[in-house]
Amino acid sequence: MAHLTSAVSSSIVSERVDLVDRAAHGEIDAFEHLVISGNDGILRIARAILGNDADARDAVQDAYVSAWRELPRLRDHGSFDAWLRRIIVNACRARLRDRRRIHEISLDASPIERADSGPSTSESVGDTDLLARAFDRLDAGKRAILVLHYLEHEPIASIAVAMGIAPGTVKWRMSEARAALARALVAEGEARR
Amino acid sequence: MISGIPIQPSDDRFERMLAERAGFDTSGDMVGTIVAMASRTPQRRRGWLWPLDAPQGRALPLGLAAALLALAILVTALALVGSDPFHRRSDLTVVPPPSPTSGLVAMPSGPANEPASVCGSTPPTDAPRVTTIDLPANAYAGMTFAACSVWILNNENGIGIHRVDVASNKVTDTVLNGPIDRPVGAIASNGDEVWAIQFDQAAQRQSMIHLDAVTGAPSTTFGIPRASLGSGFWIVGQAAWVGPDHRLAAPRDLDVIDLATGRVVTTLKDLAPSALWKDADAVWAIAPGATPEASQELVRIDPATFEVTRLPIPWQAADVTAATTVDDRGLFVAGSREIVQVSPEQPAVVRRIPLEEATAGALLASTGSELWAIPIRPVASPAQFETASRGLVQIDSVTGSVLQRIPYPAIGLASFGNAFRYAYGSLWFLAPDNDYGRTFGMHLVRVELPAAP
Repeated sequence: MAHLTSAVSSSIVSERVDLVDRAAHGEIDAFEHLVISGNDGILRIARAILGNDADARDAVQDAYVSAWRELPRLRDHGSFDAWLRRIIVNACRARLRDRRRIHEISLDASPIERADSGPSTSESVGDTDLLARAFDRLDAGKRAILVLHYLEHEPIASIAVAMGIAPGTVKWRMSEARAALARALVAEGEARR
Repeated sequence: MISGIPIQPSDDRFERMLAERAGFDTSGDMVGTIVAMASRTPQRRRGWLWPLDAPQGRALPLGLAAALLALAILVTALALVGSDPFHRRSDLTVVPPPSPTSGLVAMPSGPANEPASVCGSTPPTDAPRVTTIDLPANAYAGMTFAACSVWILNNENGIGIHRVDVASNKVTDTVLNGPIDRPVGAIASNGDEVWAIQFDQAAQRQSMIHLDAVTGAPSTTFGIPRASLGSGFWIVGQAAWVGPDHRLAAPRDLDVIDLATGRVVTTLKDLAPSALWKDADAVWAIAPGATPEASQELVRIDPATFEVTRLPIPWQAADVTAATTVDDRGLFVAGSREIVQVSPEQPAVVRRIPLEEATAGALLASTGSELWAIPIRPVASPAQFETASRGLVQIDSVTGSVLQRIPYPAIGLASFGNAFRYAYGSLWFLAPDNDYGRTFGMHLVRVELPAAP
């Protein structure tokens, strides 16, 4: 049974590599199959990082167009999925930068919003919402590493490839990200008093 | 448990939040749009300068192949004389600059003042000579100079410092090599001594390790209160200045550590420099500023009392920020599309030198009398690299005019602290293999400058 499972897995992998190979040679149908099979997961990652469906969809579209454009230059077709995850992480970074820039340019409405919404205590905000707001205080890199670990359950080596960092650095960065999240929670808690 | 935290972010709770955030809607409706956009986007073939796609599945007629080869040679020649392939390739999209990536320690000292001949180096040259030196790994997080060697911190597997011999341009040794759960986070030198910061992930503690500059062997080791990753580590005289990477949020405390004893002499609060150096009178630093108008500030630290004076200077740091000094002309700092000349003593901006191609800032280096820049421009890329440049530019520190250019088009230059330096008669920086096909691939690039007449 183990042999059969292994054989099936190998077959699936080689089919996928074949699709990547064909897409790299300009076959749009092969690329469509790659998108169909991988898009749900990529969209989940983008939504988790960005917290916004519209931005996530834009980031995913940007990522796939980049992937199509650059695919002929990817030598190791077996690393396509990890390579694509790196692209989506970078696309999310770009989205967050755009969002931050727009926020800096527009009037800062947050003091008015706080005044209008009235007093808010930690009891009136769901824990999940509080955690999400704290998560939104993190930069793209920290969000990405936490998403890949906690949501996608990626192994360290895979996270390293997606983030473009060394495996040894992943643990360090993860611990930095967790510490930053804790500090963000404190800040969110104080903002609500 | 962190005091003041309203809820404990347990793994379970955090996973649930992320799952809720990620949602469960499928993305089937996006496929058609994605495929339609992709089909309108030309694929980028291998090789920077091959602009035409060969017809698929058919052999090229010999005459057509010859014509295409001639065209490729012509385009290559144009690139070598400085024309910019990036602007001519419409499929490259300029995106907003990457998040802050760099700090650069200024102050030539030690190896920067030693000519190459001290090291028995390569023959002198009448014109800038560019050499690319292969490196064992593909990602690097630090570079320093001592004992006629370039010491490069390997970041690919989190361990290892490679020594490149200046005389032979070859990697001769790798030190502090392993294990993987004890990464080396930063290296620094004052020209004579080399120190590294190593982090023990299992024990959650960090050490500062002295490396023999001749043999590379580790000797003295001190435990230190906080580690630095990439940026945030300087050796100034007989003290180590260890701070957080200025890109990280907090805590932002800078420890000054006596190299002889390992004792923390003082801790400077809320100071996370991106650059730090010493002149005859003081230690200077560039650190994030407190106001939107002055996103960076110049910090003066009295070396005797460690009194900190913050001097908001009205310039906007770019995403790749660097600083260097030239002779007695003061400090030059990279901003967005400009280099700002600052007089620390006044303190004031004395001149702004336009550098339009530096849309995301620039790497800066000084020979002491010459100011060199690598203007950085952001480009969209599926690889981790986002920093692009056409090459090196020498800028007249008196007039601000461009004196010469050395083409070296690249995407993905290293932009950590000290990523562009002058030592042993040469400019040094790290640039990737220009072939996108490799996910990684860094070279140490050496630009030997003619000796001053």
